Formats: sequence, structure tokens, C-alpha cells
Amino acid sequence: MLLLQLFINGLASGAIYALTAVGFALIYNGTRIFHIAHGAVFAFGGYALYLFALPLGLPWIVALPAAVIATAAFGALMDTLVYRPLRKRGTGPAGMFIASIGALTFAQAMYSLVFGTDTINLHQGGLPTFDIGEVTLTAVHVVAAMVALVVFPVLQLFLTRTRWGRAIRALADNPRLAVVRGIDAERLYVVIFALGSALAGLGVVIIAFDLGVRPDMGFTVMFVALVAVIVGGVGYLPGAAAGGFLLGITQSLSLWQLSGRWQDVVVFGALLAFLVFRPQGIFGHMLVTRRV
Amino acid sequence: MDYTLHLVVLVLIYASLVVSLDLLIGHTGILSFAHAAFYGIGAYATASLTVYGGWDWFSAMIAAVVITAAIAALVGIPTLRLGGDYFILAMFGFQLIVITLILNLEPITNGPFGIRNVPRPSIGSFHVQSGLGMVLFIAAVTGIIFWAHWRFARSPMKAMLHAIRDDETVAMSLGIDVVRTKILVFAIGAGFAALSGALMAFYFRYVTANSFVLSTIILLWAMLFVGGSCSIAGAIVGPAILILFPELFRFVGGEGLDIPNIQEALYGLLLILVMIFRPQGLVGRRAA
Amino acid sequence: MEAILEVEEISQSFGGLRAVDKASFSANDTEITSLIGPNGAGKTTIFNIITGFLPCESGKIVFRGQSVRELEPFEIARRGIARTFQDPRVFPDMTVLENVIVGIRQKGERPLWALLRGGRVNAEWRRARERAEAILSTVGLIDRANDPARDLSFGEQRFLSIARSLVGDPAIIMMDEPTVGLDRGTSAKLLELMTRLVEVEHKALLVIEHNMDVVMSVSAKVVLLVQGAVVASGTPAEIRRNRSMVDAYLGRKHAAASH
Repeated sequence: MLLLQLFINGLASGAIYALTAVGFALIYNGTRIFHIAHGAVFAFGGYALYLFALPLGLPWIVALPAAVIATAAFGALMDTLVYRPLRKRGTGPAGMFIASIGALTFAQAMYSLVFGTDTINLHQGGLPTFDIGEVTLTAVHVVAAMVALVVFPVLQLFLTRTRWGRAIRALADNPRLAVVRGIDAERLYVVIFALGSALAGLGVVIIAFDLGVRPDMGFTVMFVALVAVIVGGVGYLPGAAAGGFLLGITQSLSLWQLSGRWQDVVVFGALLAFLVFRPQGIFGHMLVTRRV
Repeated sequence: MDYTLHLVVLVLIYASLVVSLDLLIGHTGILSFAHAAFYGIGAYATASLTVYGGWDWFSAMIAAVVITAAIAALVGIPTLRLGGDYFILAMFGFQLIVITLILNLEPITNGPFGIRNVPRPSIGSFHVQSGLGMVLFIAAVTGIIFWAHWRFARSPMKAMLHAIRDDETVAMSLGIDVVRTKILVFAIGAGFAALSGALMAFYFRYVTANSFVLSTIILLWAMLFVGGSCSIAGAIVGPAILILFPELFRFVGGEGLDIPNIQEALYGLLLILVMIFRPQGLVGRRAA
Repeated sequence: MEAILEVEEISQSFGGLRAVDKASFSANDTEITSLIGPNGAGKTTIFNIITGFLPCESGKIVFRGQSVRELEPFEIARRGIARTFQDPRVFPDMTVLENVIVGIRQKGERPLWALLRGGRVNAEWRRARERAEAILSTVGLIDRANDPARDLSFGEQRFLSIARSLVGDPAIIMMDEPTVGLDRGTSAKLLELMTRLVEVEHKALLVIEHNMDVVMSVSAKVVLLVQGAVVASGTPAEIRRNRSMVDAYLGRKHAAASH
């Protein structure tokens, strides 16, 4: 039935949003930078995948992980080239945000200039599908599900059980204390950006198959991801993931009654509703910003 | 000659937008991403009231300013209370909702087709035609906008806004009603943006949602920070550079070059470089 | 002496931690009341509650006979409760004089007035400036009136923050650790200012302090706060008689040389 199909579709898009949202949240929590250029990093992964697969002709089994790694590297590079000089200058969060906008704008324009503004399809023809009862699943659905099921628990383990992971959480909780206790913040920033960007990379390689690659593809995903972070509660990574899934499903289900062009309004209606009535998100988490 | 006048008009209109954006961002610390949306609402209200409603240009312009300021106040009441990052997001969202509404509320906005044949302003039986007359009209109105912001910057209001910008908590402890002031300033800024939108509607005689998209607000931010915030001169220098500089490409590269994207790449790069090397902008008085 | 500020059984928890626990005390008019206690006892939290920056779950806060519990911080400030913060938090981009003037509410702050008649020349602004200059003279900063506030030394910024708090002619000034970070000479000058504010300007002062010499020498009343609860309250002499208890709570030996 239609609703079930919409629900399944929503889960798949939700997985992409969740990956991107958790990537963004990881970076935001760890560095307090409103890294809106995360959307450009996302798109970079798509173009990297295109380059690896088509002109370079690498087999998918190589191109996919290579694209994810390339995305991680790009994110880390952006930190080194843009944010680190600003940190050295003592730039405040507003200045970081402005630079991030600059990076996003620059990157997107470069993608258009280098690759053109049309959507690049990564393969011809449809994706393999199979039916379960009344529901049709595509490869995207399956891969999205697999990735989500694997990545999030692994990330959780990384953050709680490994040295790097604990250092990241310490930095997120109390940056000054972490530095005092010997944590090398600059190296950790690189890791945080690489990790957060890798998550975005995972998201983009899934969706690139379905929708192709275009310069502004990071944009739409990024906004839903931002809303997901708010809905889930800023500072709470599982919340960001849950928010991503929730929004994907809501967006998809809204197609049942509304036409496609109102989808953005649905998402941002949700955003405004949460901002006004429950800014701490569903799970009641709010990153502490100094009020007094 | 005509083309030069056209560039002058563009610089003036954008400068008037940047100076009102500076009131919000530079002086009060309100990082508004919705400024282009208010510009658009002002332009559309002007166009819709004159073309569909048959209003005269002056009443339509005033109404557009009032309507936009009212919308801004309504939007600002729940959102200005929120911390910086939340507020930015809310403004992004608002901006997108406005564009979606513009594209879909066909009876008043003609959807994606835009509104054509906006009348030119007139005083009595004297119609402002194209060319010099229009430029003078726009210069006059933008002159008023600059004058108003110049007055703001030399008044006790400026110090109060700076206090809010620098330390809201201390401002509150000094008896400043921060929330109410922010809403008021937000509405005033939106009203001025709407006025710039009306000017745009009169000049081009055609409004379309394309002029108020996200890249517009990014351009405005770039103009503000390249020129320098907390400065009227900066509000003119920024647009002058960012509008006139790409024009050089027309002479150098000519056809085949994707000018808009080259411009975008330049804006983005300039934003980053300014933040790293000269955060107070070229002639501004304050770093971000 | 009449109580000008009375706090009655206020409590507040944050995420399961009871930060303030049925605290009650009062501050008298034209006197200095000191609030002491170990770090984390909740002293600044109580300041934030009184001045409206934090809520309190229960209890009463009465200022000059009227409840101020539900008011916004700016309303409380306008009623006559001024405060300073642990950091001076001066406005860095303004001059010293501007820092003080900004606390004076005037018509020129309203947009329409600013547009038409709010320039530097109007009478109200000139009066405000005179008042600001008078206050700067009181705290001894008049020579620095036109310097950018960020150029001031830490001690000078501290005095500036106090000047700023005086501008609304408050009845009580709440100071959060005013002597911290000051050398002996500047500390002495600060104490002298505080005494002057009380004896000459007839203000009440409620002061959070860690420096026991300061506390014992100028306070009319001392309130000891531990883990959010008021454990002792009385004159410095009475508190000193309880010295062992005080020491136990403060975890260190009180200097025997105290008068």
C-alpha cells in the first residue's frame, strides 16, 4: 500500500539525513563551529565518487570507499585551510560561520564551473529492485539500511571505548578543561572533521546512485540535517540520528497529501515549531551556551 | 552611458540593503539571514498592490514597508529569544518558507512567473521615466535610507544597540529591555529592506522570486563584511566592489564564461580571505 | 536597620542537583552584607536568581516591600537592584564614558527620536553625560573618560563596572567578588569606595567575597552559604565566634591576626 511504501522510502532518505546530521553534530559539538559548509563536503563526496567511478573507471567496490575517504580528507582540509587560521586569530563563532558560508559558496560555485550545473548520473538505467509484498525495495533502500545499522553502533563504540573517542567527548564537554589535561586540540579537530565528513561521505555515496550528482545537492540535505539536529536536541548525537529518520519519514509521508513542492515547508514548519515550543528537542538536550 | 547608470542604480540599491543589514548585524549583533526575504516581500507587496490592486505607487510603497515590518515583528517575537545558532537556523527556514510561499500563492504573486509592468513612480502628472530621472529618484530614496542610518549611528540608540551586541546579559542588568529592542530593530531593518525592495520593483518594473534567493543574502553578507561593518562608507564600498569588479570580466573573458558562478566563487573566496586577513573589512570599524 | 532585600526560602535545582536549598537571608539598607561560602556553594546562583537571570522553584524575593520574583532582569534592574559580575565585562568597543552613559535610559534611544532629535546635541544627552562624568569622578576614573574601555587595566575595568552599575541610582548594589584579581592597593581603594557608597550615597551593598579580611573589616552582616543552604548569619563578631565552624566549612585556618 502507498503509505507503507512512502514509509520505507522515508526510512531510506532518513538514513541519509541521519548520517549527515550526525556528521554535522559531531563537528558542532566537538568544535562549536557552525560548519554549514558541511553541505559542500557532502557534495564533494558525490563528485569524488563520480570521478573515481566514471572517468577513472575504478570498480565500484573500490570507488565507493575511496569516495568516502576523499570526503573525509576534504573536510579535514577545510578545517586546516579555513578554520584553523581563524582559530589562530581568535575569531569568534560569528566569524567562523561567515567563513563557512564563504567556503560553501566557493565550493558550490567551483563544482558548477568544473562539472557544470546539470545533474550527472552515475549509471544508466534503473536500480535493481525487488518486491516484498506490496512494497518495492531498491538497492538504495537496502544499502541505506545496512549502512545505518552498521555505522551508528560502530560510531557509538568508537566514541565510548576508544581513546580518540573519549578525547573527542572530553573536548565537546569542556574545551578548556580538555586542553588543560593535555589533549592536543588541533590534532583532534582534524580527526573530528575527518570523522564527521566521512559520515557525510557515506550518506552521499548512497544517494548519488539514486539521484545523481549536482552542485547544490548538499544544500537540501544540509538543511534537513540541521533541522534534525534541533529536533533531536543539540548536543545529543543519537538525537540527531533519530531526528534525521523522523524527518525523512515525515517528509515522505507528507507526499501522501501534499504535493512535492510543499516538502520544504513541512520540514521548516517542523523546525520553527520546535524552535518556538521545544528548542531542547525531543530528547531534551541543549548544548549549554553561556547565558549569564 | 545607460549601462553605467544601471550599475550605479544597482550599487545604490544594494548599498541601501547593506546599510540596513548592518544595523542588524553590525550594530545589534542580530545575524539575520532573512534580510533578502524581507527585501522580496517588500518588492512583491509593492508590485502586487500596484499591478493587481491598482494602488498608486506611493501608497503601495508605504504599505509594503509596514506589512514587511509587521511580518518581521511577528517572526522576531518567538525567534529572537533564541541563542545565535538557533536564530540563524530559524532565519534560514523563514527565508525558504517565504520563497515557497511566493512561488505558490499564485493569486497575489503570479507564482514562478513574477509580476510585470510595475508602474513607474509619478508626482502629479510628472512620470519618472527611465534614465536619469529614475536614477535621481532612486538616489533620493536611498539617500533618505542612508541619512536615517547615519542619524541612528550618531544617537544614543547606537550605544544601546552596541551594548546588546557585546553583552546581552550586562545590557539587561543595566535596565535595557533587550528582547523588545531586538524585535523593534529587527522590524525596522526589515522595513528598510522592504523599501529597497520597492525601489527594485519600480526600477526593473518586474519582480521574480529569483532575486531573493539564498545567494542574494549571501551576497549581502559578503558585501557587508568586505566593505566593513558599522560603517556607512563600508555599506557603499562593499556593493561597489562586488558589483563592479565582476564587470571587469566582461571585458576580459567575454562569451563562454559562466559569469554568475565565477562571481559566486569570488564572493565565497573573498568572504574567507576577509575573515582571515581583514575581518573589519576595508573601511569598517569592527571585526565580526 | 531596615531590610531592603529579603530572600525567603528560595530553592532551585538543576538537573537533579539542588543548587539552592531553602536559603533565607536579608540585606539591610545602608549596610554592607557579605555572602561567603566555599566554591560551588551557590552564591552566584543566588545572585542570578535575585536578579532574574535564573528561575527559582519556590520561595520569596522581596525588595523594598515588593516581590520581584517573577520579573525580567531588566525590570529588576530598573526597580533599583544593580549588580556587577565576576568578570568586569566592560563593553570593549566603547569609551569609558560611553560605557557609563549606556546605562542611562533616555529618549534618544528610541528610533523615532534618534532620527529626528536624538543627536549628541540634545539636552537630555548632555545631562546624561554630566551624570556619567560625575559618577566617573566618584569612582576615580574621570581621567580616562575618553579612552577605549578595552585599554583599561583589570582594576580600572572593575571600577568601571561598578560605575556602570551606579548610573541607575540603585538602592542596592550586588557585587560578585569585587576584590578578586586586585592587588592590595587597588583592593583598599575599592573598599574605600564601597564604604563611601554606603555612608555617603546611602546605598545598600550585598557582596560575594572570598577575602576574609575584606569581609570582616567592612561588613555589617555576614551570611555563610554552604551547598546552597544558609548555615550561619550574623555580625562579623558573631561569625568569628563561630570560627571553628566557619573554618571547617571553608576548609582552612582563619588568620589569627584578625581583629
